[in-house]
Amino acid sequence: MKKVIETIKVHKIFGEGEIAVHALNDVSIQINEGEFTALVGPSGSGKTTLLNMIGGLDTPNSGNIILNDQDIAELNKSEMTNFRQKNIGFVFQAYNLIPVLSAYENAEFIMLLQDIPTEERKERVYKLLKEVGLEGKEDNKPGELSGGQQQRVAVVRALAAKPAYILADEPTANLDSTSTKDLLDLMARLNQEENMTFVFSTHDQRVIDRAKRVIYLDDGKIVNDEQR
Amino acid sequence: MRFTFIMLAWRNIWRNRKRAFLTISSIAASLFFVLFLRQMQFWTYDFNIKNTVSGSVGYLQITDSSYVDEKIIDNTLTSDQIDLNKIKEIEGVSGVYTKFQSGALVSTGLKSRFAAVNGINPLTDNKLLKLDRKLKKGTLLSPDDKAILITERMADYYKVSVGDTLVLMGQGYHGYTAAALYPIKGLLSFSVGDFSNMVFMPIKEAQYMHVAENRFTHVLIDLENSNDLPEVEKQIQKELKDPLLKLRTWMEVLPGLKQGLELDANSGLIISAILYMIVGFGIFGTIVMLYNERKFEFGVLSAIGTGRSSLIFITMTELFLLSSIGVLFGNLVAMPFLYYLNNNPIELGGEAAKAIIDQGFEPYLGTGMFLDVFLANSLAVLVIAAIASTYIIFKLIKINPIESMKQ
Ligand SMILES: Nc1ncnc2c1ncn2[C@@H]1O[C@H](COP(=O)(O)OP(=O)(O)OP(=O)(O)O)[C@@H](O)[C@H]1O
Ligand SMILES: [Mg+2]
Repeated sequence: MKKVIETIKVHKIFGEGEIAVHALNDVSIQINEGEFTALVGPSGSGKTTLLNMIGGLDTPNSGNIILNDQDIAELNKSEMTNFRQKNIGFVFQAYNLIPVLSAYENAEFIMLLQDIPTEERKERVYKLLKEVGLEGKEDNKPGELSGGQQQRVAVVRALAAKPAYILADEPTANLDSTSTKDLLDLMARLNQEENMTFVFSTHDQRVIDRAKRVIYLDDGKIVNDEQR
Repeated sequence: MRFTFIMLAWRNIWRNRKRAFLTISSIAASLFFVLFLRQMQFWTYDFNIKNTVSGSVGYLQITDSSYVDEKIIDNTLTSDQIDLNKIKEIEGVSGVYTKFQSGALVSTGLKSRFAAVNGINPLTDNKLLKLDRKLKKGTLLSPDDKAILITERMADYYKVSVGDTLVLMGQGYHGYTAAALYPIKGLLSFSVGDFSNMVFMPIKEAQYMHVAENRFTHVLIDLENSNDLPEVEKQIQKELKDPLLKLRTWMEVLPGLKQGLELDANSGLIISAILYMIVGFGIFGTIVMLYNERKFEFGVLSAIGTGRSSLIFITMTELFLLSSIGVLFGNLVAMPFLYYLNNNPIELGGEAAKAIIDQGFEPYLGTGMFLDVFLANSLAVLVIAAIASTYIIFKLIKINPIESMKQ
């Protein structure tokens, strides 16, 4: 099985001296293609920091990060942006979408950046929007969609660009329980049917229960790594 | 992709309608005032040049080159030195007139004073020099008259009026004395310019008095449009075969007039600059607001892989479109007013008129429709917008998705 994410002895320290925070302390993980992994831990334990590292959004103070066979230390800022576009899908907690673009236009945005032809974009977006239950909502602006529907459009946007994996930092934090369940069902199904790799952080026990692997963080350290 | 970016930029403009409206109207209003101011100034500039030079100095004039430094009758021209018909045919030339001007001592026996003597062609000059409007008493000249018109001020000085005679004494051609007695046919009043001591007589009589029949002091050339001056000047220069002839523009003949008008035109630049500063700060405010409003969104876009150049392109397109709409409205709103005043200049009265007349200008208020004034000021607004936009360019060049998405 292909290894898509690897961190080796990663340290991340914010600030200096007295106020320095050791947000990640000697973190080494490997995540393979097709995994469905939850990052769990108390507030301030380093979940977001780790997701930023494996999302190519931040760099460590020491240690290595290899994403989809690429050591990201070798990339400059622009190359990094381009790398994210081609390899990594993101679903943030909220406000993922561009308010002036329709669901359809938001969903095709990354493919546009990738210069994928119109026909193919159309095919992928219509298929995926249908799969996530948003058929007929293509022309709706984000403001005309519920929070859960917006998150599903964000998943479609990430997925349509065919990334190596999708990262989601507390994707259900702003959702009610029905929408939370819907979004998880969707991610689980995409994981199963399309073999899409997901890594997400959460506080929600129902979400943790659905994960196939749970990595526990505390105070910047991995305290438990549990395959189910 | 570009198309989507432009569409995105367009829709982004209208996200905050109130802000878009405020930005557009502030740009449009400032441009409106700048255009009004500048078109008025350049119109006045053009109008005064026309009034001052056309018919008297001419936009262009041809003299003997020695006449430039020494304005004596010995340095005059004859009509066979120049092919006037060829010059009349040059495109842009509205009239070619031969002139005879000199000076003479004017006296009644008790009082004498020096005055300019203007040999005119009554058939054309009564209109061209607006003598019909300036005549206060008596009648205008006819070509064969042996009589003169003088200014009211001179009449006051000599205590004479229509029907009285004056003695004129001056220097004629080749050392002859030019002296004659002329009855006063009419009195003129000039509101503008330094015309206090001026005598008009038919050109034929002036030539005869100076023993200089068929000679001219200069040939003056009027233009349909002052913008054609450089081109017409070139064409005429080609026609002048005689190396002793000198072609000069009104700017060379009357350097003081040009300087005075330019000074006036430059004073408008300060007001324009202030208005432009208001435009600049207005746009800058919009840009700072816009950036802070969209910081999170820029963070998301950068995170999902939108390059900085694309972010800059989208935002700059938005700002360019926004300023262009403002510029378009500024022009559209200004044009009818400018057009109206261009065709219907207002004659001023009262104190304002006096002040203008005292400066040596005609008391009219009008506006131009000069294309270059529209273009230059529209461009200036766009350049100012571009300069103000550098703020957001710097912000986007340094963009850090994590920082931007912090709430
Ligand atoms: N930019 C930063 N500057 C300083 N300290 C930071 C910064 N980002 C994170 N930290 C600190 O690093 C530690 C880990 O933060 P992180 O956001 O990764 O935690 P988390 O597990 O995601 O918490 P939560 O569950 O509340 O989201 C915290 O102590 C936090 O205060
Ligand atoms: Mg977090």
